[in-house]
This record gives sequence, structure tokens and C-alpha cells, in this order.
Amino acid sequence: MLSLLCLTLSEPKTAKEIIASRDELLESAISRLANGDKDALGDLYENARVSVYSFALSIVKNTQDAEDVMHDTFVAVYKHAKSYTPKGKPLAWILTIAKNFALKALRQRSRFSSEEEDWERYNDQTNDEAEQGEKRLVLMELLKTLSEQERQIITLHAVSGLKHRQIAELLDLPLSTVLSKYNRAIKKLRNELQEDASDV
Amino acid sequence: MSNKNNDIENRLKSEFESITPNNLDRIKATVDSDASAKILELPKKKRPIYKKFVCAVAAMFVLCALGAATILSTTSGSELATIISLDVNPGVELTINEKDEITDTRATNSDGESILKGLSLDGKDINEGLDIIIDKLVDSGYISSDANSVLVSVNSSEQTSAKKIENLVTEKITATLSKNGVEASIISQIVEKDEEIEELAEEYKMSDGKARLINELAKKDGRHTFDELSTLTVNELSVLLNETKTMPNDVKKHGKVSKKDYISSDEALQSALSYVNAQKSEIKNLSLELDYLKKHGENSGSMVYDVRFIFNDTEYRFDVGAKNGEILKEKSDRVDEDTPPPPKKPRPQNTIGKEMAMDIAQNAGFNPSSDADFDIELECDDDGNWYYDVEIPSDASVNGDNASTESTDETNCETNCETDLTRPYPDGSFRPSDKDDCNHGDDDDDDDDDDDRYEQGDRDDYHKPLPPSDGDSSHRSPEKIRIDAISGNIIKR
Repeated sequence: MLSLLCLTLSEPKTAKEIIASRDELLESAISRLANGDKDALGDLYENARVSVYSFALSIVKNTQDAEDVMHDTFVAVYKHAKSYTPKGKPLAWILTIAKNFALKALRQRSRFSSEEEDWERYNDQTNDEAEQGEKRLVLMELLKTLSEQERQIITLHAVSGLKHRQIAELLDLPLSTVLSKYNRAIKKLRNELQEDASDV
Repeated sequence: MSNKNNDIENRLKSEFESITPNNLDRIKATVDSDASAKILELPKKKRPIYKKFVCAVAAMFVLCALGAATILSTTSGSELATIISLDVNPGVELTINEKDEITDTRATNSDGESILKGLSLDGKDINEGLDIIIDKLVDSGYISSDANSVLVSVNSSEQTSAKKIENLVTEKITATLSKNGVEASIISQIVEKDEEIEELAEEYKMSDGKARLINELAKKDGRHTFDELSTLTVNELSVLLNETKTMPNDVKKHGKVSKKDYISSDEALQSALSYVNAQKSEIKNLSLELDYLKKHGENSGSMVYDVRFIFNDTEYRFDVGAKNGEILKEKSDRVDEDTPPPPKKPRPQNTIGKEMAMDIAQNAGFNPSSDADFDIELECDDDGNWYYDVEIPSDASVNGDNASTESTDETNCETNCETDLTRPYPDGSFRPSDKDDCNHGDDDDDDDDDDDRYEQGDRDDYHKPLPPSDGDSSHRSPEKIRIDAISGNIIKR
């Protein structure tokens, strides 16, 4: 029995296993928060921040708003930890909250600026960051060439590991639409990457 | 297919990981300082203690089972196991080991369950098991000379083993059916684990094998979405596959599919000719092929003959019921006297597919109230270019009014006494009702309600599809657009 356990522990983790253990950690963090353990906030943050930030960014398209959404989301999760019913899908719950804050930010922002300005702002901001060059490439293409829904679907699938079905629920789209948009978006990205590679 | 996308997705993931800021301190500060950010208590629920105990025990049991399953599954991967999935109408799945012995059986739909009932196949050799299953399928009437198709899908970690099993199963089924007086028509395919296929199979309650076949057919055929083809029997799928010039990837045909249930193509043509009072000698540019017609709002459709010809300067299109010759759909367009269109070219194998055409149309501003409002036809122009003609009935909305529903959301939420903490209001806040000690009364079902809200949301409420911002909302889009069937580009008229 012990050797079996050792075997499982030493095998490299598949993507599925990584997601499963992340979900377990999130559920445990949320239930600890619900019991008043404030320190669980750190665990929660560590396991969900990239998912929340990337999803928020895919909606609001600028880093300032995305950071605010991330902040508001985690505060809200902290506040409402007790109302979460453990069902094995903690991330979907957290992202639902994030989505609403993101939509709110979008509505407020739309009163002041157009879509092109959003993109410009994002490009300016990321140029200031330390990491540049080849690594940035996929992200840039993602933002530029995809439609709203395509961008959100790809982000949710790639970064948060949500299944298409969960994405369909989160975005309130039929499964077939999600699959179709996902396929189209991946195709677009692949084409854009190939073009850029041949230009260089 | 999923593996090919992993490289792009992994890059994306690591990019996001590198740019995500770490603002935990700021969040902690807010949480510590802000009095309103305390962890909210749920309203007290009357819940008997023994229920909590039972739930806890059940939860522990599930966790143990999950733990055991994880350990078991990671260690059993070293044995070679092949999964053979059979679909007729009933769907069954057999797992065999290296010695070709059956180690597990499973039904993939409810008809399959009735087939497996009373059969004990574990430990038997695959040939014997197939004999038993096929005999029962024939006895139960699922396979006959009129409907003689079987779909065989083989999934094995080892390629050569998969092919060997594919041949073995195909030969065995052919032999058993022959013994029963039926000439078999077998479609076989080698399948791999695919997340997209698994999700489709789960959604439509069919086996992975059938889902894969339908998906491949939808891609090759270009005229139908997965959803439209989902209600076809294996026999009908087989008939459609027969019509395509090249088979989808890794799909093989053995034997001839029975069309005894259907009228002949001559009879179908005659039915169409009588409708317009024409003689065969008077028509031009005849094209005729089998297709599947599912009318909007109906649960299932039927096989039809798609009959087209030009008669008296009019291009006619008929969908003739393949079983009884009834005219199910008819369309006509006047054509230019001087330049009749050339004969139809064979359909291309690499169209973007109907699903994607719908998606492109939606991005261009077409927002019908449901998928059924789309009228999409795959057509060919004079130069041999294929395109999708997309039309929406003029009363359906374009760039629909999503904004108006948001104000009603808020009033609904406010008049609701319950504090729904799993479902934030559209403005992002979680507003409890004015009455903090709102009495929920005897709701043992409270948790279930919360689950429903968490699971599905209230579709009319804040779960609005995000408005398409690619289309320009300042002017009305036309009710008709044309999309190139290969590239997906919108063709200007």
C-alpha cells in the first residue's frame, strides 16, 4: 500500500491532476475562511489569482481595471465564503464573481473611452514592464485578433483549465457555440503566430 | 486534437503567470480595515443535527472513494487495455485486456442498458462476447436487413493493437450477422481521448465514438451542425457517409449500407417532377443526393433526397422524404434566361462548417433570438466558389437589445427577500435584503436552491451573453450575408 502511495507521489502530475489538486486547495481555503481562519486568504489568493486576473483582463482589456476587479473579487470571496456550497468547482464560483465585477468596470469605463483606447492603454502598460520580447508574443496576438467571446473562452480554457462545458455555463452560451468559437480562436492564434514568425 | 493546442495554451498560461500582479497585501489591508468586509454569517437555518452527521459521513466516504480511485487509476495505466465501443441504436462499451478477454462492460445510452441486462460477459473471450451481444441486438430488432449498420470505435493506447482489434471485431460482427441472415455494414474508427468529444458526448448523451463520428461528418459535410446530426441513427449516419466522396479521418467502411427503407432516387425525382408538372426531358441541371432535414423546433428529422433542377426559367429545390416521397420543403428562384448556372460541383471537403458560419454571422451583428432563426445554406456560385448564405427572418433582432433587461434584474433582486450570496447583483455588489433577519422558514431545500443558482444561474438575469462589440452597433446590419465556405471571410455583395 505504501509503495503504491509512493508511486503516485513520484509520478509527474498531468494537467488534470494539477487542476484537481488546485481545486481541492481552493475548496479547503474557502471552508477555512468560512470558519474564520483569515490566513486561508493567502492560500486562496495563491491558487486563484492568475485565473481571476487573466479572466478579468480578457473582459476589461486594461491592467488597471483588471487589478481592481481582482481586488474586489477576493474581498467578496472572503466576505461570502460561508455561502459557498462545496461542489468541487470552487474556481467557477470565484470566476462568476469576477465576471460581474469585470462587467461593472466595463460599463463604467465605456462611458469615457472607446475600444481602441483600451487596447492602446494595455499596450503602453505592458511595454513598461520588465519582461518583453518573444515571451509577450502570444498574449498580444490574443488580444488583437480575437472577438470578445473568443478571447474569454481561450483564456478560461488555457489559464484556468475550465472545461468547455463549464465555460459555456459561466458565459451563458451553448456548448456547441463555445466549441466552435474555441476552435476558430485557436486557429486564428496559430495563423497569427506563424505569420509573425515568418516576418521576423 | 487537444494535444496540438497545448503548446499555444501553455505559452499563454505562462505569460499570464508572469504578468499577474501580487496584491495580497492590499487585499488583506482592505479585509482587516473595512468593517463591512467581515465574513458574513448565513441566516440561521433549522437543520436537524443528524442530517449534518449523515452529510459529513457521506462526504468522507466520497473523499475516500475518490482517493482510492486516484491511486488505482494511476497504477493501472501500465496494463494494456483496449476499449471497444459499439453503436447501433443501443450503445455498449467493452474493455478487453492483452489476452482479448472482456474485463468490463458499460452501456453508453439507455437502450444499451437494456441490451446488457442479464448478460454476464466479464472474463469471456471477445469473440464470444461479440456473438452474444450481436445475437441479442438482432433478436431485439435493432439490427435487420433494413437497418444493418454498426459503428465500431476502438480506443487503445497502442496503435498496432488498435488496428488489430478493429479488424478482429469487424470480421467477427460480419460473421455473426451473416449467420443471422444479415449482410453487415460496418463503420469502424480508431479514436483517441479528446476533451471536446467527451464533452459533446456527455451533453448529447451518446457514446464518445458516435460523437466523434458525427463531429467528423459535420466537418466533412459542411451542411450540418453537430446538433442537427445528433439525432441520426447509425444507419442514417452511414447512409450520409456513403454520399461523401472521401471518408473522414480514420473512418473505414465495410459492406454496403441498406437503403431498403428508402424509395429510389428515380422515385424521388418523379415526386418532385409531378409537383411542378414537368417531364424529365424538360428539365436542366439536375442534381440529386441524400441529405438530412430537421425542421426548426422539431425533435428529430428525416432522411430526404435533395433534388434540384431548372424548369421554365426557374430553379427548383426540393427536399423529398426518403421513405415516402413526400415533398417536405420546396424553394424556387427565377433564373436568368440567358445564362443558366453551370452544373453543381462536388462539395468541398474542407469547409469551415455550418457551426462556424453561424458564429461568424453572429460576430457580424446577427443576433437571432435562437439558433433556429438562422437560415443557412451551403451554395456554389458560377465560378465554382462555395459560400454560406445566411439569412435571418426580418422580425428577429439584429444587435439585439441586451441592455434593457439589466434594469429589471435589479428590481427583481430587490423585491426578493432572500439574501442570495452566491449570486451577485449585476452591479457586482452583494446586497442583502433590508430585512437582515429574514425568515426562511422550513427550508431543508435551501442548499439545493443555492446549488441551482450557482450551477445554472438564472438565465434571464445577470448571466447575459456578453454583447458582441465587433459589429458596429450604430447601423443596422443587412438581413442577409454571404460567407466564403473555405476562408470564413464575409463576401461583400
